[in-house]
Amino acid sequence: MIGITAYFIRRLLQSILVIVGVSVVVFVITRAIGDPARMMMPLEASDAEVEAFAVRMGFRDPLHVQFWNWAKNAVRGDFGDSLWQRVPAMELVLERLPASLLLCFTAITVALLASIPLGILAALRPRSWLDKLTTSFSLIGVCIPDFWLGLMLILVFAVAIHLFFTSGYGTPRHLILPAVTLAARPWGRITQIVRSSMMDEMHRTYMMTARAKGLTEQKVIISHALKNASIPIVTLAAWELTRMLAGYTIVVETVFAWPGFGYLALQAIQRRDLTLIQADVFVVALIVVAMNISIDFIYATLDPRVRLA
Amino acid sequence: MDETTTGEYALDDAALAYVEDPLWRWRGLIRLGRDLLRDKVALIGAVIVFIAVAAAVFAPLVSPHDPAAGYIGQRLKPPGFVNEEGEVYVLGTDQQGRDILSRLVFGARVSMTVGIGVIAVAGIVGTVLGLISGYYGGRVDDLIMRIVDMQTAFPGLLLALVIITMIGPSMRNIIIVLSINGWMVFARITRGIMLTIREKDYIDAARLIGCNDLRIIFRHAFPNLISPTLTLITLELARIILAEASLSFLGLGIQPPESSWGLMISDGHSYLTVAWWLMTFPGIAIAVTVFGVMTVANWLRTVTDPEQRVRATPAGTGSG
Repeated sequence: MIGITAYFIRRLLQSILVIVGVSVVVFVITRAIGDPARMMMPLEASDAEVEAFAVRMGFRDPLHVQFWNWAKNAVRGDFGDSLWQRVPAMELVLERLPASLLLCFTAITVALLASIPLGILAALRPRSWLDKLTTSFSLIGVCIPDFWLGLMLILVFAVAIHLFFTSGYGTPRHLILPAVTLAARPWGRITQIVRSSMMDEMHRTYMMTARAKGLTEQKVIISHALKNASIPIVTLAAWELTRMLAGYTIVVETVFAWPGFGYLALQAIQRRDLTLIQADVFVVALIVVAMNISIDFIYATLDPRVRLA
Repeated sequence: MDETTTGEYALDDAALAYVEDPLWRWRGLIRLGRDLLRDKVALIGAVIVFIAVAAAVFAPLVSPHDPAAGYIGQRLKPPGFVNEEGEVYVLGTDQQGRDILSRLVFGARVSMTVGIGVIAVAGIVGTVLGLISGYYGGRVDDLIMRIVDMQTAFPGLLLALVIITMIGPSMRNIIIVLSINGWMVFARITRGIMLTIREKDYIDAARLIGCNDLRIIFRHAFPNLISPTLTLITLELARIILAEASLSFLGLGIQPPESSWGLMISDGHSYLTVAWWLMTFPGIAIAVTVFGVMTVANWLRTVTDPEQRVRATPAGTGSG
């Protein structure tokens, strides 16, 4: 028990370090390269006006003072006002959070539901036509650029036959295309790992024992082989989810104009909205760190041999 | 592998055979080539990679038209279009009347340049840091691995977008940004291998006969890195091609008038309903190239890693 507490404290410290690190990097990049005052002021503003604005906003203070001020407010939950929408930046990000979470969790669920049965079937009949088909499609899923897949799906399912919408948010008919687009790559990777780890497990001696004691084939596969193969599968799925949340949803959200924090991040970047960028990246960093810790815990729960230390 | 083992005499014989064989230096490569011919999927992948690389290198020679010259009179023409002068546009023309096939060929050049650039920068930085980390261990190792851990936990693509906005989108900056994202994998794999060979007798032997650290690292440790790194390089190439396409699609990568596959998709997507060919072909180009690169990477992994080779043969059971 002491081991786990110590582990948790160490991971927490590490996570804080990561979040501070990300914040510093983003802060330095947004402040040090280019003059933020010049970016924010209208093009026709005179140098004196820009200078006065910069002093008022604190952009002429030393960088570490600026960061300290930002961090002090950030700890209290104040990330400053968005320069673009003139409302608290964190509010904007949090408003967009549910849409992104919905999209990413739907995508990973779709990926898991579609990959596990196919991967198992492929592993049970290696070199069959089903195995070959599964293997090639999972490879295609990994190779296809997601934004292009999204556009092609729009072309077919929204433009040619009006089954779904090209963009927007609200109903399941809005959700399906972006979720499938985002699920393609994790689906491909998870299918591959389900297939290979199931094939590994099928040859183990415990499988023979399970069959010898009279279990049905179904039970042998599901509760023995799949259970043991689940460690790499769950780890990969969690990792793919992290990857989506850590920014790969940006591209898909942009294609479908999905109102999540990824699309918001791109809009903030295009408008050079420094406070909004900082708030958005901060939230993403928090999510990534939380996901990484959960992955470790899932791993330790699934595999008793793994000690958290 | 067969008869070289025991006995002084047998070893001498084998050594002699090695010296007498004029091709001994190339034997490994020849065997690799023969393996490749036997594996059909890998062969397809290798052919795809070869075509993409050839298109990139000889772009001005093989592209049927000038990729930048457009005639408004023949804009948005479908695949197979032939103009009055009898010039054929196999994949049609884009919104400015430019030949799509030619732009694809030049797009391959962009993808490959970015890919090689990132691998060179990230690979060298990562490998050198990994070598130092694994060879010296201790505090240096701790420091470098902390940085690797921390950066792996960074939201990579998001930071790449932020950085590229601030330093301005250009090919050089894309290479910088993607290298910042990619050096950690090289450092990690290099360090891992270095840790295992640091304890080997031949490293001790090299030290005893007076080799300095640099010579030990590069002359004795480095050759062990080549095959795992080769696999990593090809895998990274696939990742980089996709990343460059995404950046360019978002408008934060290659800028017009230059062309890139991602940019072509981005341009074409406004004409989604009237001219499907604008974005369809560049997407296929990306997917097929990435498929080729990944297949070659998978093949390299099974060929160069003896453990994988055993696993590839059926009934390769053993302790996990």
